[in-house]
Amino acid sequence: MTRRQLFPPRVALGFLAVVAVLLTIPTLQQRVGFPLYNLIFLYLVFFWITQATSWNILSGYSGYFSFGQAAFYGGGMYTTAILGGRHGWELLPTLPVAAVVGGTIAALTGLLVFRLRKLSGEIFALFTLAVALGIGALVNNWGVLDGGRGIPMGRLDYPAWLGDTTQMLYYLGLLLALVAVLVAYVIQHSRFGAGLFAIRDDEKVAEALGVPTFRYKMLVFILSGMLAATSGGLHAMQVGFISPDGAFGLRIPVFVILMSVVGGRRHWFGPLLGAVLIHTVTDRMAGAGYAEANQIVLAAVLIAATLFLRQGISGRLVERPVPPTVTFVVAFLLAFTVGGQTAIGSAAVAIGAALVVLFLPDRWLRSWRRGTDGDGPPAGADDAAGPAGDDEEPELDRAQEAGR
Amino acid sequence: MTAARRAGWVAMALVSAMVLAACAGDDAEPAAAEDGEVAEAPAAEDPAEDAADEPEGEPIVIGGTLALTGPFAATAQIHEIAAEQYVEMLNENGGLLGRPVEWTVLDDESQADLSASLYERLITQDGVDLVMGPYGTGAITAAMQVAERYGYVFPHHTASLTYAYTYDKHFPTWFVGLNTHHTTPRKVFEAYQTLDDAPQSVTFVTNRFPGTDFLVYGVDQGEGALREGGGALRVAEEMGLEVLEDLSFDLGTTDFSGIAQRVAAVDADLLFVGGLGVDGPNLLAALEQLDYKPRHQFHQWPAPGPMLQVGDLADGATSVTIFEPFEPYLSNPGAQELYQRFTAAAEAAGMSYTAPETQAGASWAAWQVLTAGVEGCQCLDHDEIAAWLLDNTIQTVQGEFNYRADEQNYGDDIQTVKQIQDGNWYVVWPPDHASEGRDMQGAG
Repeated sequence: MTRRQLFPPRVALGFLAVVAVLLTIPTLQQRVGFPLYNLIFLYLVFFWITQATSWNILSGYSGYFSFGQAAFYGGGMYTTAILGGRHGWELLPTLPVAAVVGGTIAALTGLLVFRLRKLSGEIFALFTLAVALGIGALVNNWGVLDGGRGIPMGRLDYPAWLGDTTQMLYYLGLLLALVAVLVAYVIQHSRFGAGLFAIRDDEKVAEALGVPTFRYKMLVFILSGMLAATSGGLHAMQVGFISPDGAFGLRIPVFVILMSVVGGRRHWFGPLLGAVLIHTVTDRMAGAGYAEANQIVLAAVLIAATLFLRQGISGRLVERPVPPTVTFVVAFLLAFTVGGQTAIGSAAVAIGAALVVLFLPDRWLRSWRRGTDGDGPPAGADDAAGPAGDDEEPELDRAQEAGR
Repeated sequence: MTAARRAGWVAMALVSAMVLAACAGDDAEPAAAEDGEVAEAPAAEDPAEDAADEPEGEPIVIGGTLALTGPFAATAQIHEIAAEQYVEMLNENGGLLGRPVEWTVLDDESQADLSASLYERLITQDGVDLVMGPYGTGAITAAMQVAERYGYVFPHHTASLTYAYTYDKHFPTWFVGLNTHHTTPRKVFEAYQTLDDAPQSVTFVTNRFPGTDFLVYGVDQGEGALREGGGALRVAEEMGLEVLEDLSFDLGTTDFSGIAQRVAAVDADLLFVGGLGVDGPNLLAALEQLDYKPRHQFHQWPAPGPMLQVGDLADGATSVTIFEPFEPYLSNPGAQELYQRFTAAAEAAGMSYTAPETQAGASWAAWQVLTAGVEGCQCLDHDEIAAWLLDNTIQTVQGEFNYRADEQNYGDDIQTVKQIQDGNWYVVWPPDHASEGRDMQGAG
């Protein structure tokens, strides 16, 4: 097996281009004067990307399905709320403390749960849910943390160069999302990631092949907790009023699972894609007064994705990247310029169009290619070909690599 | 069905959702509005005719969220009906500044974080001219921070954490005074002290909801005009009542059998329920199973209808109110319109309790405050609206409001004590506000 470059030039350039574009948006917003809501919308997309990605590096990569995301998210929120809202700390110093709190919750939970072999599968899921609910109950009943009163955030100070509150949330949200995505990308393309995938496929076999399963699970759990908690700490500024039921409720875990399942749990790109898709749908529906319908749609999407999209949308996108990407760009431009849609509305239309192209049956595209090229691949060639990228590697190879 | 075809169906479902969502969104980019920067309203062409004329021109858009779904939806429906009726009445009477009024309400699903992001959307994308607060303490507190960020006047009707609201352009109509943790319990215990069989002991049963928690336990530290201490528990002790038991439960609790057993065993003279909604009726149902009736009982914020439906067990129960569908409240400005419109709309909506009371009164008053500010300054400038509201007495269905900047825009505690007598609620305290022929009744 040949060792590949961690960041091939194409990937590195893609990352840099996306980051460069995103960094210019606040300035563009001020210069051009498009609605400020676009920044807030993008901040919320970054928030969900961070949360979903942090969940996925544990649950998607290692297969340990967690319902306890709220323990980290809520822990981070309360850290910032207590230090900033009650004790007058500036915002930025609260975020590393939130990360430590999230990492500590994960470490303590992991030490217990990963030592006990029985706590795997659905028992692990229930255990993590119990941890989140337990911490929520503690916060609700212990006055030092909250006592059920809730904490109004007020205005926390932060460096002036971060701009106004919306710009600050945007930049810091973008930074956290980038860190989360980079962490997920690096893990996926490392021996560590290969070990996690091997654990997901068969933990006993992975262990027999020399994968340090306990260490890997602990490490990824702590990373997951730190990312989610830091993001929660920042999000406290957006929410404004922190209460136990909001911080430790089921909304966050349900949404991150939905985003990751729809986007795809086997790839770093999956939660990112799922977060963009689900948040865009939610935003359009809620903003138009169809919140009830939105809940029904999301439930239907989750059921459909669970039943039919085992690899998520990202699995399909890795196989067929160009047609949906081109469709997205063209549809966005058409909706924005000709259709008179808002930027977010145009994105929704473009995502819809890209999904249609993404899920066109293979034989339709083949016949289209034959029609245009005259020398397309033989029938069945697409189906026979394995997915691109890491998915080309047999699982056994991965485990052996991780164990070396 | 092949895998590809199944995937195609899934894709079609997703696409349909996306297209529906996109179509449901806005078609045009409205102007940004930040830091209170809103367009000045054009002056009405003929102010003398404003009340009789059809409103003309560009609509004034007032945005807000309500818990149209989720655990607070039942009570939020009252605010939705009140708002719809108020805006309809406004437009029938010449609109606002001679312009028609549109109310844009979004569903915050009873979630504070969602409420905050929806207010961001209303202000920064939809470019609403004015906002109205949502329902529920958490959502209001979260939304207020957004309003403050953009300098919007923020009237709100049901926020209970008075100490937390320092924004200089918030205008509460839950007009209970900044130090409600002192004034409210004192008022209640004073009413009970007038009885021949005045209670000597009390048991507290408290929902760990922020507002009820604040009213029962007060604050450890005062700040500015906010006084430290307070809370019904401490006030009771200060007024000579013996606290026999202090029990609490989580929001959403419906099984009160364990708490009921303890309440019955302690058998205090007064049962003080720091609860909301159907907490009281649920607790009384559990007490009924034990064949126990409290000699005196107070409920902080009960749903009015369910309390009456409890029957004899709730007879004599007291609560506090800021509006009721009878005198003296019905003589207040706008109260008759509220009563008639709300009752008809609530009946049409199939609500079980159709008379407007505290919730509807607070909601209506919030709209009265907002429109009074706009009409008062004849503008849509948020600084000027706020200045006008602080400088003038506002007439509402709840009575007169005098907002005091040195008390975080609160004023006097206008609450009265009401009691269930002969199967209905009546105001019984203080005497000068009592319903005709009614006063505080003791046990039996």
